[in-house]
Amino acid sequence: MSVARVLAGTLREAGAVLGLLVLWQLVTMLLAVPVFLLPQPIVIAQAFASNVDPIARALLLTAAEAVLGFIGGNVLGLLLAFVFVRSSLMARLGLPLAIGLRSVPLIALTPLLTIIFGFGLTTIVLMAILISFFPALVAGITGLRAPTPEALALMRALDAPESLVYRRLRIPAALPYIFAAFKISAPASVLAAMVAEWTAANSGLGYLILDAGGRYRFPLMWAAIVAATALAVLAFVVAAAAERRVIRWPVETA
Amino acid sequence: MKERRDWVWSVIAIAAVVLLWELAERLVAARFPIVPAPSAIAAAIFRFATPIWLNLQLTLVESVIGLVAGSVLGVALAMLFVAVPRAERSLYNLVITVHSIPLVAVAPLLLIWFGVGITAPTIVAGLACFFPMAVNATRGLRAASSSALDLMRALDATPWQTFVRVRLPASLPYLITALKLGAPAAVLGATVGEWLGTAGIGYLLFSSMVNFQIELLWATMVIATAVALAGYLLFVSFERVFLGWTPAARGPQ
Amino acid sequence: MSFDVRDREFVALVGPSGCGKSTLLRLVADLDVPTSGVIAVGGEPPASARRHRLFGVVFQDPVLLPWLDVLANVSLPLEVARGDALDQAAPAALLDLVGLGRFAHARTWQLSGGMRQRAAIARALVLRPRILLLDEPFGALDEITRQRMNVELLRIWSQRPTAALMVTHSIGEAVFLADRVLVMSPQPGRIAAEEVVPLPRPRTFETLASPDFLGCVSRVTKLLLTAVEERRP
Repeated sequence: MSVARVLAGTLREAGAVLGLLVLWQLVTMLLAVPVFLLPQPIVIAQAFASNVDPIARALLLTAAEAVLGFIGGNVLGLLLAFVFVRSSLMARLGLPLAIGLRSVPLIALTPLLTIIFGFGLTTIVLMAILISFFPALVAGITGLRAPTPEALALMRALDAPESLVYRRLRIPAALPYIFAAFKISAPASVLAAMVAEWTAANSGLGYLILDAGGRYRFPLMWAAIVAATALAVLAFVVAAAAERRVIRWPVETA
Repeated sequence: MKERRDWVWSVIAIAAVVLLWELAERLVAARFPIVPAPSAIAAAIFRFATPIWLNLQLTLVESVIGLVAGSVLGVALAMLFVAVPRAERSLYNLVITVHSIPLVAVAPLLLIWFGVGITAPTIVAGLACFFPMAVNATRGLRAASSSALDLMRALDATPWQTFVRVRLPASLPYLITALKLGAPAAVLGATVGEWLGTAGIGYLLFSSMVNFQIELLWATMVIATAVALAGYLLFVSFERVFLGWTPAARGPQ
Repeated sequence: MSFDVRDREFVALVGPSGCGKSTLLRLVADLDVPTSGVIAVGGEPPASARRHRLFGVVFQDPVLLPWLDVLANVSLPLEVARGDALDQAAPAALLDLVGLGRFAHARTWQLSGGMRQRAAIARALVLRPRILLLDEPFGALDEITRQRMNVELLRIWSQRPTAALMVTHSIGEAVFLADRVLVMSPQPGRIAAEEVVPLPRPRTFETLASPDFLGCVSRVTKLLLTAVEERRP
């Protein structure tokens, strides 16, 4: 896509967003919508401006929690995927357990984790780890097993050692799946961190949203919501950008 | 037949874990009150059956209504997208943006708007399954093979006939997939919505934590998991029964 | 069944679907294990022949790794074999030979089907195998490209002569390429007949129209039909 077209598209979207904001502002102003229902964009922007410090700190904290959890969950998931692909016995025993763990709604685990690991960073990062773990596991397994029988036959005909088969065939073949999982678990880690903050912290964006709402500081609450959305979107964008940089070849979409 | 073998291994693995867990508890009795033995959890489920059931009823109602409403809206949006491609281009980004707003941010907002009660969690549940359904339904409605569509054209079928005979059956696998994902998502959404409320499974989880009622907490967790799993398996069985003809239903997941 | 392939001889295997010709090739390539019988490649059983890289294989699916460029793909056997007195210049030279010299650093998805198979053939020849094993290599290509590839294959093969064993559905292709055509019949899979191809080399597009070629094709076709008929209960 040419730069001009991308620019035009972005401008059009920015224009749409701006138009929406203007509409929002006008409607809330003209209909005197109460602030607990829908604050005016200008008021939200003001809340942003006068609370830059707390919002930024909350955002950085939540982001740090999410990043730690994302890394931990993916490392664990991919490692386990490798083990499961190498040993079908481990897979047959381990996969049902992983699926069982996955079946527990994450929010239901928060109280338990809070009780076991207490208030604070550990619980929150653990939640983020848990939410990233399963997509990484599934992506790793699917990806490592993705090469066609012909590709594997070729490797065998070349008498390639296992390590080379992994390095040159299985791992590159798995990368598209792994990055697709990243695009899901990156924003999900942000979400998980925020949910965990509800019960296990008194800082961070998730907590800030609740706290601001509880103190009837609605513009601040909305500002925090905007910040949270931006963080989640940023996480996705970073994952997508990483995908574009690493996956330089066309991949068939399943 | 490989599927049956997989099932057996799953049962073995889970049974083994439960047994080891029980044994461990017996051996180091009362050393880890935070993690009760499976038998104690089972007993707790019976002991607290009434409060659990009362709260569960609420959550189920919210989940079901949320799932239905979210799915219907999702399908409606998909139908709009397929019928009017221009709508897709303009609305798609809006939909994605709304979807990006984390549920954890939306839930407190809904609580403020609708107060404590059944409405907020239901809406959260609906939102949780709306987007997956919209995406899957759009894909599904477009999944009809071009050869099948050409055939209907050659037979001079009306748009409605084409829809009913080709597009709808072709989209069913996708719709059921979305429902498979949506059912546990709706339960999750309802639970999140109830977190700050005064009733429902979400509330029960939170309150049992702050009141340090460990066994009630575990019992509720187990029930919540069972419900989410049941919803998922319900639609998996739908898949088998109604869609036996699709490769997706026949092959392993 | 029993047959052999001599050095620098091109043998084609034709037969109806399911007669086991692909299986036979896989047995030679040590991709499957025979329940009985002896297979020897260059005097060695398939397993050690594979480890000593005595054969090169070309499948119907060229299997080019999309994350490597064309040259890296063709060099893959070198990478596997890890140096020691191997010809590092072979991949580039072979790419030139198959006519892909200018595409050494192209990406695999930028190549057409025929070009990809040529790359696969180049890769199969990198380690100077004693025998080239081809399993319906041009099955996925359209007719015109297929005929062009047949001529190309003969040209390449004449420059890098090895023994060659090819499985194909197409009788015309078999007769055009081979010195001998073996006709297989199904259930049980066995060699029903053998036809020596009397056409002189080098063979070109004109050969395809020659009466000798057409006569041979019709003889093989008859043999194939007989083989299939015989098996019908």
